[in-house]
Amino acid sequence: MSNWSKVSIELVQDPNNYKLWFKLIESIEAKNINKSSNEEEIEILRITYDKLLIRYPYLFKYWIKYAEWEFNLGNAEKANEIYQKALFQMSYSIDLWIEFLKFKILTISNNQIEILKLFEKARSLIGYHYFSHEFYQLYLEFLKNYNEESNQFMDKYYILLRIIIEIPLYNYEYFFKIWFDIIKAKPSLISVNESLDSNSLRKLFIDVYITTQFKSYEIYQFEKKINPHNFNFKLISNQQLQNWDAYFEMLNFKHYPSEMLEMNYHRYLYVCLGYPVAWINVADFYIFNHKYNNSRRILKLGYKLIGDYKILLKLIDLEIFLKQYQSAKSLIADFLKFNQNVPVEIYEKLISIERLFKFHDDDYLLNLVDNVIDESKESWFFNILLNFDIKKEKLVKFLDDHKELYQNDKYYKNVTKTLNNKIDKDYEGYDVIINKIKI
Amino acid sequence: MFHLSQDLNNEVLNSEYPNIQKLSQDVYNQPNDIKAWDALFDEYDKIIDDSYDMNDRNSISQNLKDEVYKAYKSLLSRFPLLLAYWKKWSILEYKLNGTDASIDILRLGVENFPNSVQLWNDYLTASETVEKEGSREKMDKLLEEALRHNSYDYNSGPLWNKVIEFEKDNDEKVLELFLKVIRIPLYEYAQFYEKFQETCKKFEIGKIIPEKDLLDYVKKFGKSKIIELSLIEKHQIIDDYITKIYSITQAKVNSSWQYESNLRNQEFKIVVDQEIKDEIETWLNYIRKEIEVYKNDNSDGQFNLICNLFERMLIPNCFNSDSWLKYLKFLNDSRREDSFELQKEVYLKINSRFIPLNKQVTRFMYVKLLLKHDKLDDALEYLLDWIKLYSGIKLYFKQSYLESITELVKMIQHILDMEEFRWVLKKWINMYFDITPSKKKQEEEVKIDKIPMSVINQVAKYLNDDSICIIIESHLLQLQAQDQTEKIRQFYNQHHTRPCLSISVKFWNFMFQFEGIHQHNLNNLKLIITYIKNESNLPKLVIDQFINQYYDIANANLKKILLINDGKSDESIIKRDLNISNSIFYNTATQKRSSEYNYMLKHNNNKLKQDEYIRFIRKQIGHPGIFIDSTPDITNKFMNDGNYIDLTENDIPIPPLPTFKNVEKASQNIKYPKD
Repeated sequence: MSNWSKVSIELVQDPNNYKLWFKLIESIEAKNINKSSNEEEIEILRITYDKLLIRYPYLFKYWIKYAEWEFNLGNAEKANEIYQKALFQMSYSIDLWIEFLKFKILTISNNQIEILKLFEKARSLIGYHYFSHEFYQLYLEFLKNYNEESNQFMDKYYILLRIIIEIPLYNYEYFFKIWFDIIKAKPSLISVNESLDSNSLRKLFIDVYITTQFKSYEIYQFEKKINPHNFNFKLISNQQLQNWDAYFEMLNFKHYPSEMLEMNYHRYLYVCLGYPVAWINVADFYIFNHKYNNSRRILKLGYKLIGDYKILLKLIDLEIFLKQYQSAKSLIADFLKFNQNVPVEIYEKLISIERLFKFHDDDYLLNLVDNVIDESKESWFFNILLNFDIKKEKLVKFLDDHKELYQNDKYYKNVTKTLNNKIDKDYEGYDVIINKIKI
Repeated sequence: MFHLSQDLNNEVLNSEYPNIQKLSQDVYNQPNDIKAWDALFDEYDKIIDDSYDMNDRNSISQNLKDEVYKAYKSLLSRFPLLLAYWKKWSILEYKLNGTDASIDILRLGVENFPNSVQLWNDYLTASETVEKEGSREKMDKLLEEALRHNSYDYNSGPLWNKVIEFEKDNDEKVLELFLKVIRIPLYEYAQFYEKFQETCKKFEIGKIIPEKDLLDYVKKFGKSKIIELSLIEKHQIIDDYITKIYSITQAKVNSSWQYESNLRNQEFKIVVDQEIKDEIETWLNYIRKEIEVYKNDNSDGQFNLICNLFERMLIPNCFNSDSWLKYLKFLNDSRREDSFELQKEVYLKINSRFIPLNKQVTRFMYVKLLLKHDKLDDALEYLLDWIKLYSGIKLYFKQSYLESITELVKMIQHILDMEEFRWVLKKWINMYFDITPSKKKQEEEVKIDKIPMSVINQVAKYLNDDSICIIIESHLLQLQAQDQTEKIRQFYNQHHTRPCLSISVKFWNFMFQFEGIHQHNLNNLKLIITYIKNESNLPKLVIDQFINQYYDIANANLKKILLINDGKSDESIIKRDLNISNSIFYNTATQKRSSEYNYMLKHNNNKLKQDEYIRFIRKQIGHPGIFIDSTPDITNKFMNDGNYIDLTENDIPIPPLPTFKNVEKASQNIKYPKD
């Protein structure tokens, strides 16, 4: 049996073991597949990558490797498709964009304008990335190399450079160097005002330099405290998670553009995807900005990828908010169908939604709670009865019916006590207390 | 750890010596640190030694003498059980002011620490030398007092010796003492037996042996009358009699020894260490054993022995109210006639001298004891005295104060009937908020005769913004129990904006549960949660709890909420996480609340205040506490909305030149806060 088959059998038993997935990729790549390999082996390679990337869509390195395989096997069109798919999943991945654009330039024909559009698309997504200097270098080079009179690429080159120098980047100095060289050589390219000579322009742009430097440093204080990648699904410290929060707080308070926040929120997801709170935070970012569809998309993806019920609860809340009651109901139903251990909150949500559909039907509600208590063996659900506006007689009867089994249960006692609405008037006298003391 | 009068009157001891002044300050800052006190006393010793002249009393200035006196007094009134320091002080006082002064210190010592055999011993020895010519009577009294406290102390042998020695010329007295001491389990029990054996023969047999026992002996010797016994027979009988006592005492001593030998920490220490805590169990086992004996014989002697054991156990554990309560339980259960007086004595002693101010149980227990004995006025007065003390004449002891008020309310509820109690609560609230009830209501005045009106008025005087909330909660609970829904809502409308209520968890919790769980009035609940979120001054953790509970209730009533919102979904469900998040940006309710209560903001208008608060946060974001007033910026930057340039278009004009603000300030030094 080949190594690949062995690992893939192991994977069937342990599908959540990412190390096995990496091993599986290694085992197929060890076979030195090339253009002359047989079709079956190449197909196995494709299947392996496809399956891996469905499960782990944020492994951008594997997307790139996958595309490179196809390119090396002579399938440029397939490579292009893979990049497209990858960018659909990770549209804010700077590494993916750079590799994709390099690939596009490598396979350029007469589609300069198409590639320009791709560069612009990338810029709209990752243009404010703190480490986007490599992207901008590539972009500037592209404009310079493929300039023709008809396409005005050189004009765009100057404008792009003018735009870049205002962005707080890790490598901002590199671009200022080029910019100041241009001021020295051809000031007319920079200003429409001809009365300004190189010197006064230089003075003016030194102020831009100071401003960008200041902001770049401001952001650096936060960038240096976060890990931009998490390849091995390592656990992330609470401190790291809080550093991201602090970063977002700063961007918000300092009025950085919302595109920059959105991009950083996605970077955060790529790193912290194992944490339900990350998905919920990104969803909340969209909710705060009233972008409910984006929020729903994120929650669905998060739930699909890590299957945590907390994400599901948030998604259900969102569906209820958007009045998609039926879909909220089916989300719960699906969860109950496929899960053995049902968290208390899911049951609570189920009861709430059922109540929504059968408003006023107190018997139905009490019956449901009865079933839930039976099934979950959690007496906690007595407690939540207080939240519902149930006819008092019915509730009292319900509690009486359960008295025998639960009268000493703390939640049961709490509900009955609240319903009775009696004041504790027990004043413990001297003898009562002294008798409790043991020598 | 708080200590009563000392903490209330604590002040720095002033000194003309700079070194001393500094050490006094240390002691003031750390009054429980014995090392700081040692340093202070060492420094005093040094100064005194430098100028001390044995032959000249005036070699030390009166000022310095006074200072030293104050320092020792201050430590020992704080910790009266510090045996070694009493001794040190008396030696020093001898050096400075002579014998009488030194004895006076020892007298103070035994008054404050009457269960110290050592201190009594020193005091008696010193007194004896002075009182040789003086009156016997005074000495007799002292000896009696020493024995009253310590005769059953396992280690009181030296004290007994001293007493017997002092009384040696008084045969009657000596015999009485011997007859007592040979029955007590003492470490030196054998020594007393031997001494007694030497001297007992000179006493009349009838004075040693009670008549009943003596007649038994007479019978055994085949005689019918005591006078028929010969001298030798009498001696035989006496020997036999006291040997029997000896062997009983010996057995007692042996059985006590297994405990005594394990009690290695019998002295008071300021810091109660683990060893002391561990030994409590040994003490208790020891005591339990003696109590078993007492159950059978019910003798005064055994009772006193047990009391003495408790007192000794409570030397190292004098701050421990649980241990004191065990002692009190014993006194209470003894069913002796003087049980109440004995307990009272203990309570008064420990409540004012030992139990830290943050532990209330023994104080409340004393109040309950008074109530039990129908001393209602005394009980009220005692509790009120404590409330007055905690309420902040010198210092405000919030926790103790609130516990005491709660206890008082409970007690009054217990004493009065329902209607009277409700009237009193209402009365307190009106008095506190200065509300004069309408004439009609005044007529409804309830006559209370169980508690004097002056007490009710006095309580009102000691209420503050914290405690009024306890009264209000009680009042509201009463209204709820009577189903006075409208009155509760009236109260809310009238009072909920009061500053004292904006910090009251009890009040908001009551209102929240009332509308949310009892009345299911979601309209009102929404008003309440909005007020809590935006205007209250509750801790964030508490507010988060309310938000979470509101989330649960809103989820349980989805349909109802749709109805009251005119068909709109409620944002509070979907924004729950944002509303409890720690982000100031996303958590707009926190923003409102924090701007409302931030003392650094000047605006009165709420909206302007909130803007100011946001600027305040922005200036220090990423570096809290360090304000950067202005950051450089390009005013027409491409990042601004509407300035984005799409490079796919053709013939893009050259962009305008940048304009700036605050660039000149970019290189300014950062202003670090001064304090």
